[in-house]
Amino acid sequence: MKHHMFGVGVVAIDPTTRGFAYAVLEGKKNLVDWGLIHVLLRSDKNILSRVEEILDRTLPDLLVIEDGRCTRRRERARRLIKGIECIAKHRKLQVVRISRAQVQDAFCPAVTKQQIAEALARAFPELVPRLPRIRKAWMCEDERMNIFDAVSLALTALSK
Amino acid sequence: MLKAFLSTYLRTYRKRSGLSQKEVATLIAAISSTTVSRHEAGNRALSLADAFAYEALFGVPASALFPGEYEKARSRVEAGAISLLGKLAQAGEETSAIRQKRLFLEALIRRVRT
Repeated sequence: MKHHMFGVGVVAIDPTTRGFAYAVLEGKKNLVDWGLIHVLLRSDKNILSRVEEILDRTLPDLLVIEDGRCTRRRERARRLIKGIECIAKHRKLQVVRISRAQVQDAFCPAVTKQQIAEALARAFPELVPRLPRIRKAWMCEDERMNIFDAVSLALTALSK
Repeated sequence: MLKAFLSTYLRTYRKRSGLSQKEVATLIAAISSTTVSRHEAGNRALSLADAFAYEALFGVPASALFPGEYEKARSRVEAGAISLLGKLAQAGEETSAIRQKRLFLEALIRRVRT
């Protein structure tokens, strides 16, 4: 494994309804890049090509994705996660699958997504402007929450 | 020697500051936000003036903002120093001027390798 300036380079990807969210970390303390990618023509091919662009730009040591085997996500998201895993295998890139339970363990006592996102915003103040409002029962989940999901996946993989 | 993860950290520092590419373009007096986007992607050669403008803007040395470019320059300097040191060794008698250069080049090689 290569060692970068501030530690191991990690890219975490979390599919969303309009594309995907990503987070790039160098070690546990250095958040290098983060964001939401919206793909206009939402085919798997277009989304996966944008994933490849990020991997080309960052050349990570680890790729972190949600564990597709124990997730309640829709078929399309699970298919995308599998596709991302195939890209990583093709590039001989180490893949780490993280389940929701592992994320909750890593961020204990924070349990809910909102609590984890708030903990992340405290650790990385640059994420504060992207922190979604507290969700009411009748509201859909804010898409920006996926950025925090991606960061939490990466940090959980690094703390394993 | 530890390697930088990315060839440029411009996007990282811009996002941390909360600025858009357009705002950064205004701040560094670039032609458009496309220029900033190309600098971030490493698709456009960076002028010395732009490098200093980014350094002044983010308060980070250009070598830390553009470790890829710095690494290339460092390798060039190292190769040049080794070549020049070889030529000095072939010169024969070591005068005080040659000794001064040799000591400088040896220190330079040690410095760029750490």
